[in-house]
Amino acid sequence: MESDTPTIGELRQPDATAFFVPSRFGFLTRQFLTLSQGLYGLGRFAFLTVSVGIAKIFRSRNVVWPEIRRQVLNGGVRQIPIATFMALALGFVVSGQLHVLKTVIGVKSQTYAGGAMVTVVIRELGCMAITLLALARNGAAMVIELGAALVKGETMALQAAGVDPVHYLVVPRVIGQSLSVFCLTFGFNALATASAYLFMYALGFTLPLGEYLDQLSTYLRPLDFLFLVIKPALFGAVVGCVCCQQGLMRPTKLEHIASATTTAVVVTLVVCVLLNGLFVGLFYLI
Amino acid sequence: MADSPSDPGRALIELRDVQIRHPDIVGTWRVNGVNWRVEPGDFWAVGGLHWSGKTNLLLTAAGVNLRARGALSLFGRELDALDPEEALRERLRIGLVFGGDGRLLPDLTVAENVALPLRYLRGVDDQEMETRVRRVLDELALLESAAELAGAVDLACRRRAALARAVILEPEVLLFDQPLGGLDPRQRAWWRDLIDELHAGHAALDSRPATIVVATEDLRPWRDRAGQFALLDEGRFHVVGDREAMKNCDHTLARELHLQEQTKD
Repeated sequence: MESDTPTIGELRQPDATAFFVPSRFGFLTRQFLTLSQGLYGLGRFAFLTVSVGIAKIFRSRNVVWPEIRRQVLNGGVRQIPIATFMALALGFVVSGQLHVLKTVIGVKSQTYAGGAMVTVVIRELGCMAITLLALARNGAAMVIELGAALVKGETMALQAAGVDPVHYLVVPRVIGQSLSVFCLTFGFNALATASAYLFMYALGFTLPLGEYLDQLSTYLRPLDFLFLVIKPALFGAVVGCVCCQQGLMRPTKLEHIASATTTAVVVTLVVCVLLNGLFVGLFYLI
Repeated sequence: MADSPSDPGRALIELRDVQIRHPDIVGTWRVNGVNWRVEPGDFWAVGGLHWSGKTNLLLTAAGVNLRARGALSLFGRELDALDPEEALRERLRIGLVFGGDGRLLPDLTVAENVALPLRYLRGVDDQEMETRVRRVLDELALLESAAELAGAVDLACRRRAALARAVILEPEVLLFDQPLGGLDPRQRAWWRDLIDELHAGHAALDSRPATIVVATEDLRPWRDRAGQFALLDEGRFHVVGDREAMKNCDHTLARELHLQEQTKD
């Protein structure tokens, strides 16, 4: 009643789609309706977040921007050690697989090194691995934190004190996750690429560095650079948005938070896999 | 039982035929047909049993949108007719003090919790903010706990911090949700006296008298303090009237909440 954009409370109220109660239908229809309603709810929440983020971009900077910094610190900087470990491990795995290939096709296998790194790590695994890391380390915690705040009435108290919960709680988390996943993915890809070369060197490959870099540049297309920016930023935003939505929309009691956390993990994975498929399709179409 | 007061004076808060919905269970309502006028200088005590909708009534009166239907005007202005910015300005003239653990953000310090609305809404510079926060914390005996995390301090301290967060924006109306619940006798006395002082004019509000509404499960501590009484019973809001009307009220709930001897505590 007070604002053009719906509030959290209004989003939690029933809407016109309430007629389509999934339990009235057969299994497949039920699954389809549940998925559709879930995606519709997520879409509304994402729209609310983007609307509030844009409308209040320069408002209350002294409160919201430090929150974004805090989210980047938690979701990005503090994840550097584990992301480093994962990048080194992935570099080792790829070089190990090339070593196995070497036993089959001989020294020729090293000519695939750059291609393997670009197609497997840089285009696909890097972004997905960091998204999974963000989901496990931050996303789940976010659902619990926000779910508890909702159940304990802290979000309502913020609203009563004139603080917009979407602006103060959701927008910094979505932006923070987006920036964190983007930066971590960039570092992850660089480190995995470097470590793969070092492990290959240690495993007895005789691939000169210049040739390895040539292979990488041959396989990298201009579109890769665009997707390297868009994909991780979008996946990070998806982690933030889904986890905030599940934390703030679903729990009405503390015991609901566990199922909201599980749902957040599943929904994030489904949405990211679907988006990844879309990116693959776009990549080969363009 | 009296109807809603019909005094033509300006109402600070006016609810007309309001139905208050349940914040969590979709499609259900908590309180129906609320007609209520809060006027300058009033001291209301609203009694209701556990789970009767007291908190939702206060949230609605404070302009946090829980209305399924009906009209709400704040300071003589229809809330629905205002743009969001104006509506927010009017809403902030009302401070809501939550019961329980005060609903503070546990990972912020007491001082940060108190400063949050000021920093978020007014964007005051650090020095001015610190001065104002310090003054309010001092007035409410919270200075010692200022740097502690809100989740780590005791209940009494959290409750005072919730009050400090409400008064930092210097509201004209203060709505208290069960201010005495769960407190020891010393704290209860402190709160009763403080609410009296806020009504008369307290330094935390620049000595400006505040209009007070207290929602409670026990009207006895308020029977000689409040000037107006109302009851929430079985999803209905009943305005009882002044002390005399409350004393003579034959509503069962009124007797349960108001007339029993003070045997507890």
